[in-house]
Amino acid sequence: MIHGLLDFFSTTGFTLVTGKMLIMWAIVGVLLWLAIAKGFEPLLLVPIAFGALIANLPTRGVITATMHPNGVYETATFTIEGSPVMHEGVGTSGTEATQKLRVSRVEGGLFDFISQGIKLELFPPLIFLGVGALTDFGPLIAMPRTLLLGAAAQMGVFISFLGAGLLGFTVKQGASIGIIGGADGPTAIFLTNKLAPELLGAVAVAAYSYMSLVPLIQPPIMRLLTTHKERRIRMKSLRPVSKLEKLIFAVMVMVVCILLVPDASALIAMLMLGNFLRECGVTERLVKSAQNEIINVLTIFLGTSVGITMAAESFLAPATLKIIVLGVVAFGFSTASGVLAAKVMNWLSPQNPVNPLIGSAGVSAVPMAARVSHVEGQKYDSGNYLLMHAMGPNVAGVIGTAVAAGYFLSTLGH
Amino acid sequence: MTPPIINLIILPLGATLPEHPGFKESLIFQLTGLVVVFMALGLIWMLLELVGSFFKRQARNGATHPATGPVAAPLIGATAASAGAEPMAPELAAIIAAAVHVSLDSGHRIAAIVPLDTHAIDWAREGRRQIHSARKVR
Repeated sequence: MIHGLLDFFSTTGFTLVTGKMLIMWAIVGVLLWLAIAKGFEPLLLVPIAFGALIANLPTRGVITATMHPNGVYETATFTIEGSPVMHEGVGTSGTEATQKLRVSRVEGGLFDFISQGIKLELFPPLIFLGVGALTDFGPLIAMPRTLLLGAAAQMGVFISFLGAGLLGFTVKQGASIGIIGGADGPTAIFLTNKLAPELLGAVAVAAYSYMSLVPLIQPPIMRLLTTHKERRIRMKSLRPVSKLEKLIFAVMVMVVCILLVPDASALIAMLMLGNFLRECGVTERLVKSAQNEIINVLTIFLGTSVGITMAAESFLAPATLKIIVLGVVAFGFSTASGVLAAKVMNWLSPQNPVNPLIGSAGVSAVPMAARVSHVEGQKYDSGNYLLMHAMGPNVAGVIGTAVAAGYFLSTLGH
Repeated sequence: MTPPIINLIILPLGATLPEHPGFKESLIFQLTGLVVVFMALGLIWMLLELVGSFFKRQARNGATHPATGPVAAPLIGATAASAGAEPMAPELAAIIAAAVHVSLDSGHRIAAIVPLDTHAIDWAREGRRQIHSARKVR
């Protein structure tokens, strides 16, 4: 019987647990603690952490992963067994033979198939559909000059691209790391999957971790770059925006962005489709689905699919540490450039000043960054309501990051 | 000879950037990227200003030339702000009157029922949210 038990033990997963897996379990613990105890982006960090835990267990039938000799860690591949079938027919140029494949068996784990949503670039644009359905672009339309703050806050993306090059990353990897500064998780995943899929886990974790740490990272930079007087600037009330204006905005932004950076079409088109559904007022059921069921289901699949790429062999590498450092640099520069751009705007237009604290909301962590601007402003003037003003640059940041990603894809993705 | 500004735009897009470009190449590449982002958002800004000016003018015209057609008389004494609004359903007026009666102790008279515009509600909602978040629910 003891021999039988020992034989059984050799078939269990205990013998396959490695030291690196244990380290990853600790990292998973930290991510779960941040999400559950601290409430930092729990909707994303919980699925990511849980996916990472699955990736670092000796699972069977969950995901296929291979470490190639060149160091590239490839996940989510499945096999298709079949036999070719010859077909002969008469085409326009005479007799033509075509080959078809008769599939007899498809073999793969659960996440080999679910992760195709990332590999085939399906999840990020569909999440953008939900984001569009949840976002009110009214504050941006009422004060369109805040678009410049959203553009300026992309500075960190490009500065960390430069830093990544200095640290030995390739241009494609640098672009994927830089986009962390945009603070837009779906866009970061979209771009990284196309340019540097080997970094997907580290980039996604860095992006979402920093998005969740916005209330800790941004305020010191905001305070450093503004004076007490500037933080107390009260802005003029925003004008009401009509439904027609919002509909025109959605179509206009989509057309302009797609014409300028066609590679960002999927993201921009879905973002504006979601927003158009929201604003047109006659598709209530569709809007509710996009705002709730669609985005919630996709968030679970996206988070776990990203987490499951965080196997110890690929994640515990010096590159991950560099990405974490470059990510915070990107984030810091994005915040700083947004605030400084607001100050420049005040210098150019002193009669209608903006509170520079809303500049930091140019990073696209919606609506967390806008709330940080508001809370920070209230510390210095409790009657100053900056939330709606900060939503302008905040949603402009979403468009800006998608455009920056489109630029990288246009130039490096072909 | 191509002007430097044109070089700035077409060099990184036309040429294939090596895997590990030099500092200058990287700098030009990222400056071009920033220009593209500013161009896209700047263009949207200009178009928004254009569309916005049309709507602002329309709103001003609406304010100076109110509708001259026959307006249904308000159900109860209304303020100037609500004079042009649709008549209120009697059920709604009854509910509001009942709510006022229940919540006010002394004698009262409802002078007007004015619908709030959504813009005003946003700020009130934010104020309420702050009050609620400042208190611990037991």
